Amino acid sequence: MSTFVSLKLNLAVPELLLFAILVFYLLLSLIVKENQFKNLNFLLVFCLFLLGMSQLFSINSVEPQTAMNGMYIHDSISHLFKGVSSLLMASIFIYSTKYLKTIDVPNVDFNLISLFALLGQFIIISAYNLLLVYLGIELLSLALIAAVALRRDNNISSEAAMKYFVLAALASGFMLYGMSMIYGATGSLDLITISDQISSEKNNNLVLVFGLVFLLAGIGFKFGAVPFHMWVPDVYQGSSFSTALLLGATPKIAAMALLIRLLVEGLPDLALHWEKMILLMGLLSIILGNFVAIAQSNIKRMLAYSTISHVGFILLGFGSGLLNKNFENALESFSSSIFYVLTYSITVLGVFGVLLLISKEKKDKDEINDLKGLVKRNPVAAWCMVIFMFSMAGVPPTVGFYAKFVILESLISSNYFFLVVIAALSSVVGAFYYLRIIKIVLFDEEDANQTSLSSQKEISFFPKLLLTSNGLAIIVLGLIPSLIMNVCTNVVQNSLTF
Amino acid sequence: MSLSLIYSTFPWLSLAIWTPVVSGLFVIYLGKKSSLLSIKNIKVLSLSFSLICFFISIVPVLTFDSNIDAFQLVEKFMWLDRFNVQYFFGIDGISLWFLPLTAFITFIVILAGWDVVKKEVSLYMGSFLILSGLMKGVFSALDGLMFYLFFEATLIPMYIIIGVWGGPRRVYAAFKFFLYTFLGSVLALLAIIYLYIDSGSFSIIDWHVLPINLNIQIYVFLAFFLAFAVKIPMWPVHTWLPDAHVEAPTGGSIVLAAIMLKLGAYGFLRFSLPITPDASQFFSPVIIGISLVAVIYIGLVALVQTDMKKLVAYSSVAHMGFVSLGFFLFSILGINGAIVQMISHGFVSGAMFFSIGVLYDRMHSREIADYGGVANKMPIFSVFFVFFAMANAGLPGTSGFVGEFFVILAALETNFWLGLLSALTLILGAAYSLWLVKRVIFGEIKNENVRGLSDLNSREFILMIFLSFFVLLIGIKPDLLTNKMSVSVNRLIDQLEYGKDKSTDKLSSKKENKKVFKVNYLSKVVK
Repeated sequence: MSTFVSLKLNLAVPELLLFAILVFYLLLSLIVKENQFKNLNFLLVFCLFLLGMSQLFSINSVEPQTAMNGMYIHDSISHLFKGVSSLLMASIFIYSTKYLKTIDVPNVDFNLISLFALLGQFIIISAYNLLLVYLGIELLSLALIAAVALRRDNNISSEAAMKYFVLAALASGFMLYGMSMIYGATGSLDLITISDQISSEKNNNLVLVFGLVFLLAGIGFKFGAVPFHMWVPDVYQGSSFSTALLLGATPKIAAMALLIRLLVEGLPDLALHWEKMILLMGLLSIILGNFVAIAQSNIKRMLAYSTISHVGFILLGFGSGLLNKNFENALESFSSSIFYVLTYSITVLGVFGVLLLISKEKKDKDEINDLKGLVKRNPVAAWCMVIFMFSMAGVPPTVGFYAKFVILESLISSNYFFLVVIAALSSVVGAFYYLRIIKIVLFDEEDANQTSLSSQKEISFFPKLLLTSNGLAIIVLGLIPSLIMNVCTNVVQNSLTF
Repeated sequence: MSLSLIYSTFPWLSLAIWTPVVSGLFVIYLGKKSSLLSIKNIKVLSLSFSLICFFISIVPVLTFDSNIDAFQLVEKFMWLDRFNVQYFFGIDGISLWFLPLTAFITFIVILAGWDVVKKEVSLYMGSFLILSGLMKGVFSALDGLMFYLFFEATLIPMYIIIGVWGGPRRVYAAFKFFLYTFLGSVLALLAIIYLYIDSGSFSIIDWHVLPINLNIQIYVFLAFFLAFAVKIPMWPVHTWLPDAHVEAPTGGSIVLAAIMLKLGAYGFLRFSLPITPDASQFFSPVIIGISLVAVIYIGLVALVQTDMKKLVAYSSVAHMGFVSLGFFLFSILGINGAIVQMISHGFVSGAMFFSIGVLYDRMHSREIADYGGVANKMPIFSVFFVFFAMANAGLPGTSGFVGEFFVILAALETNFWLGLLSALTLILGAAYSLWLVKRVIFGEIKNENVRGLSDLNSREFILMIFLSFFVLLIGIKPDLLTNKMSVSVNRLIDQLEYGKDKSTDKLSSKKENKKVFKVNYLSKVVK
């Protein structure tokens, strides 16, 4: 095993490029004058856009290959996830530029931290070794914690960052413990070796399952799935809108990659055990998320609980296809789950995009009632919000409907009738609080003294263009869902073989 | 039971569905750029769009060949290949009439909102245009998922219509409307997915011949039943309707009563009866019972209402009870009667809500007690109002009579007592309609405001003429409708009588027979 031959750094180009972008941005931000930051940010967004597009365009021509002695995997899934994460990150930068100025957070700080988070995600997405997984998770978590704490003069933010830090450390500890158990049982950290070991030998199953439980606890924490969800509402509430978007949109993709890498590729022979845990977490998340979200009056908390319920759907879809360890059927359900993650991140990007673009005060207007009469003041943002909310509720012709549809389909085809009925009924409950937002945005009259929301004219061209295309994308993908549905299917079939 | 598809050379159905949707979006867009067009021009534009859509929707009726038992004007191509979802539209005798009905009612609604709507005019007109396209999609979809998409998508414009232009409790009503329907239809989605997994296709025609045993049929039936019963609405899930009607603007009420309720009834004809025939037989006593409750109990409830809109809303529930009763008698007469009743109710309830809208625009009250002696001040209006109230009560010669008469006859054929109970509607309907007329139209002028009323203007007069023309036409010549429907209704009855559940035959040879039958049938379908 000669190290240099199998290093194959050319496969890790996305990480290297991203790192280069990061370093250059860091250095340039020191040199460039403050009034040129706008151009610098534009350059950054452009680079990320190119990076994302180059990943997406080469999706289908990828053979799964490992690099760095099998620590790193390069396949269609990594291309898809990295591409989408980069594009999402670029969109986050566009949406939050103006907002960051109003809350007095330096744009450069936020962008740098976000880039580190993105790098962490890239590493998670391609990690094929437990240590590398852990490395990625830590990089992502630390960056996110820093992002939460960016508003240094804000008590709630600091509290949220502290809470997030402690709990994330705890979750990392759990995960590390689980990894060490698995290492102990199999003698390897490489996922591929672990998988071979488990299937070839009679290992100590108890130790493996013990490790698996801890590993899943860590993943559940990253996802924010019940019962590891407690941090989500508090951290969302304590974050600024841009950080909440950073927490909500892209890490879900990384967590999805974690599920695929660790469970499907690393521990397929334990599927009998983890599938039930995943389904249970999913079920609880859907129920709790939807029911508790009803009672929220703070929009960040509401969105946090709504995230929990969406995570429930993702997990249910992921766990549903594995009857009798039959992975061939499971490919469909994995791609359904990926489809859900992608559509959800686009939708949540839009929701926070609206909130970012309309806020113009230092103190976040994060009560739901603050959105009253938005349609009068800012019709574009209001109608986009309506589209996003219908998509979240899963009403056709938005893409959110197909996201729910593919999950329900994979549940029914595996005969989980009980789960599917619960999931469907909870989504009706969920429709209630999304409708309430629509009601406040469209039907309610503006309060007399309410001038805290930006009007249409106060939003500059690029964010407005992005928001409109984001809203249109939800509808267009709802009319032609095969655009990304086929991509998800192909990607899964290219990458995972059994 | 043979069934074939006749492809269309020109996409008339797509045109009928998408023209209103696109023109609606266009109208909304123009309205936002208010500099481009004045409000008056936007109204004229919407009206001409609705007329164009109406003429397009007549084409299917003209080209429809009523002698062939087939889905006609079919358009079919792959739309979502991972799930084998087809862009698949076609009409048969059952769905045929709902397309022009929808387009006509949209025309009425746009004209009815002409002077009345002051707020967000372009959005109002556009929403109704979009809504009409979506409803046409429901009526002509032959793909289960397509049906569901349109069925659900209709909620969005209606939710906005009630919420933006509704009365004081509009938010409550809009939520109730949305959530009730959503709850029902989500379960129907599960049934649709189940049928897809069972058959490998979303085509409703494939589902019609899919063998399903009774146990599963029962679940599928119940899931569909919940969706459609909420939409119709059947007792006891009808409570959203009075709220929605009372709070909705006049146009919203008209569309709701005239067409949206029919989506549910149509669902029974397209899904429940042919796909789960044995379960339908199994549950028919229950549903007949519920329908009778709707007819009698809701009829009595209508009698005591003090709000005109609520009264008509409850009478809608009672009339739709007649429709579901007609379906589940499983006779040609019953189903024909029910469909005629659906179309007639479209015109009559639309006309009733429009009349109430006319009064409301002048008096801003829907309380019956505020009126009295309207005939003294609005003689022309009163003539129409009395006429529509009579049609609502089922006076012979009006469209209201035909459907009810058919269904009562069918009920009598089944069981004397059933017929007797259902015939009570004639008394109850007459009671609440006539009493409404008595209190609103006749008598002395009790309220000073009534003295200031002015009679119909020319726009309202034209609408009344249109509506009463169709009410009379269907009343006098119901054959116009039934001729075109008969072949499809006969086929539906065949499907029901043949049934699907062969699970009692345990022999494997029988099962093979069933498969052979299915293959033959499918090959015919493909032809």
